[in-house]
Amino acid sequence: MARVTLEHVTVPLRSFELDVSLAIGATVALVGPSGAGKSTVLNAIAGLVRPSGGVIRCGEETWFDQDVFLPPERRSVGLVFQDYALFPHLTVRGNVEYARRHAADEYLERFGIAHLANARPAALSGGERQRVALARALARDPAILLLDEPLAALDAHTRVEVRTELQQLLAGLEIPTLLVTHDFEDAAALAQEIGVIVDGRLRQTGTAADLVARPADPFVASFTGANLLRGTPTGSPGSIRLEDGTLITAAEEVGEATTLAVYPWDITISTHPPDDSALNVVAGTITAITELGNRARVTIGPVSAEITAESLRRLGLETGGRAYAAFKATGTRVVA
Amino acid sequence: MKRVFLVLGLLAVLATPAASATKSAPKATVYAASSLTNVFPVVDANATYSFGGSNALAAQIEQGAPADVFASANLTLPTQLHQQGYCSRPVVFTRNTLVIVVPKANPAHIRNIYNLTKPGVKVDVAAPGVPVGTYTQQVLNNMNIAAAVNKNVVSQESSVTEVLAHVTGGDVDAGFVYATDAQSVSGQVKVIRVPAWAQPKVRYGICVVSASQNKTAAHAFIRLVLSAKGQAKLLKYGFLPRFKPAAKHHRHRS
Amino acid sequence: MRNRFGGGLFVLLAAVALVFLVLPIVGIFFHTTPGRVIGQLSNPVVVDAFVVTLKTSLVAQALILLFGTPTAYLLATRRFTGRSVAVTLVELPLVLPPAVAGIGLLAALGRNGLLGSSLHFLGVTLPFTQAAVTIAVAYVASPLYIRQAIAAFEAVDPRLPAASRTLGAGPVRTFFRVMLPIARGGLIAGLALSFARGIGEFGATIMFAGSLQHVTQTLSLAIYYEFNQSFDATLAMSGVLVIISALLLLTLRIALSWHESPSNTSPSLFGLSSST
Repeated sequence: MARVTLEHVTVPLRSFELDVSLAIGATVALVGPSGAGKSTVLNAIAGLVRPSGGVIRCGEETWFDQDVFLPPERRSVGLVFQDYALFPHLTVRGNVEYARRHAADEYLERFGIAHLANARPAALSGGERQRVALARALARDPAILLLDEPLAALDAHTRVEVRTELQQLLAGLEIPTLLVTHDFEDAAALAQEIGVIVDGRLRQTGTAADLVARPADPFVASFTGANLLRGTPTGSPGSIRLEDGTLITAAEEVGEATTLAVYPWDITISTHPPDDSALNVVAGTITAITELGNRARVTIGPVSAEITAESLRRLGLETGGRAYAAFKATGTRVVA
Repeated sequence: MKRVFLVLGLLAVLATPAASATKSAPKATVYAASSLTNVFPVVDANATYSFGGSNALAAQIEQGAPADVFASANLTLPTQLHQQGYCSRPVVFTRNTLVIVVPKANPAHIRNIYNLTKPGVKVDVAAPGVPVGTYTQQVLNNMNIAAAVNKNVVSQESSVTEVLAHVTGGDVDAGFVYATDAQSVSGQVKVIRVPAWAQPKVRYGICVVSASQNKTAAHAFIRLVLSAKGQAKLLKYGFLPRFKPAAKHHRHRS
Repeated sequence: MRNRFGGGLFVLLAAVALVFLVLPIVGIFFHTTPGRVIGQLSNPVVVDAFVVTLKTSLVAQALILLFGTPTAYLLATRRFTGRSVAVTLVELPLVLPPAVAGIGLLAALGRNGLLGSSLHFLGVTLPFTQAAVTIAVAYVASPLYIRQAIAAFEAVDPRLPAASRTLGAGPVRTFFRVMLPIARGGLIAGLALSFARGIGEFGATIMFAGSLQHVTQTLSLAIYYEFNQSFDATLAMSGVLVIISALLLLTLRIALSWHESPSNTSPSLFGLSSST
């Protein structure tokens, strides 16, 4: 599996210059606010944008540097556009065949769209279109898969469904993938490594947990948003059992859930178990404390809470100490 | 700004009747053959003119065009109109002759009319219905070169001025026009004579349009054209006198 | 109350407009007989004019397609300095009075013309040839096609050719397999417009190509000359022309309805789009 690397790839954008260095070996997500330059990075890798400087390599092959600029058709990329850019004048089969004449059927089967082979894109639902777009991009057997806001074009209900599908797909793929999204949650669900990009610069890269626990700056902190709690379904709707047996319940009754989310600022910390049995409580050791101005992020077990610096001092919290993170079911969301 | 326009508008409205009030008689509208374009305004500067191929003008008059006078480059057209009741009986008011004009540079080296039969020479004529077009065919037939010259015709124009324009423009090698047309652009063309014996009878006819609302002005115009002054101006522009001067009769004593 | 009045006024104005458009055609047929119209079909002037018009129109439209399509494509998809000037130049013949276009063609391609003198030297003369008719028609009709084509290409989502490139198709394959099929509806509409304009061309043709039966006399010119000769014959000829035009319109409509383009939802034959 060849890595795709970007070294100081610069692209002048409207109000700033994009400058990114990145190595993509597995699934990487680029998150950030709109206009931060995320899509530009994708386009630069695909060859649709010519950077003003830097180097882009795929394994041993140089795709872009001072002397070289390989056009998109000579790069082995599979790009899935934000609204899929399916060819409206071709059938689903025609779209997939565009990339690869002969093995189209195989890909149609693999993505569960064989029954739609003769349909036109206009007749498909959002989720179906995404599958076609993926099939088409992967039919090319690319060296890297690029996804531009893969879930943005879907309605809230379809999103969860499709995200799960995508999760499974990406887990099974053996090629580097770069996906771009403005939603941290999506990134956390789909990628192993996340880069936060703001105003053309990468502010921080790491796993989802890293970014939540140790945000490099207030921006990353506020951007990364929720803690994700993964567990096994319990049978009751909207609740999961964590690895250590703790039961966590969300106010939403969504059916079988495996991942719940809670925002750091919805969590209160105490040094002894709370009285209220209606609360979710995660007990654990304080593993990290990060102070950010007059706020602080405190990581207890799997969750990071955000409390005021004053509370931090009042409670006398220290790394290594035992603490209880409590949060209401109403503050807990089902994510997957 | 609005006020300025209002005042101007009022002035325009007031001025119009005043302007026409100063003229004692309304202007005549004269539909005349193209070859009269330069001379008629000199004969009568007060009339309103519409020049064109005589057959086009005749067709327009048939369709109700607002002409008071019709001056044609032949007698056939006004006679036809008269027979159909569209105008008064036509009167001959001038005559003309046909010539060949070539561009000043004479790219095809035309020296006489017979050169026009040379293959590859580009000849421009008027369409058969246009008086000068008919006259041209008469000349060619008189000289027995019709077939050969017609092979060289590249275009049939709807009036003699167009033929002239193509010659002066240099895109054709030769064109058949009236002597008066050649005279009007003497510096830009070379003239090649058509032998006198081959010349057709070119007689211009003039008449009053029956539907005219302005018969007084129409008659006045015709009188002016036929007057000594009018005729003198026509002669100056190269037209021939109304009637052929009395020929010397060669009586053959048998 | 006001609504009903306003609605009624609209209908009245529309009725006037429709009558205005239909009256001349009705007038033609009112003043002639089917016998005379059919008689004109065997009139050699009409037959010759029809053949000249058909030949020159087909060749002109083929040239317009061949040269106009890449022009429109580049103008629609590339941004370069002077682009707006280029677009204006392409549109210029549209606003030019046809007679002026004719004079211009003479000045450029006539025997003493800018380019014409060199052509003449090489033994090529254009004025008064059938080729001249083709050129005049192509000149006045091309802006109509190109403008529509530009709009058609601009309407293509730019992500589609981008997707095509990322799927391994180079610029040429992308043009033929993505841009052209998707823009096809607009291109056909543009061609219909330019074809209609070409058939009706008169001013530039008469100046640059002259008028000679069987060689350069098109249907428009034949009607004009016939008018100077006989109004009755002109009426009958016009009847023939109206029928030919109607048949053409019908053919185009059928051809366009076969091709179902997602972008061609307007009932107008000429698919006039609101953009550009």
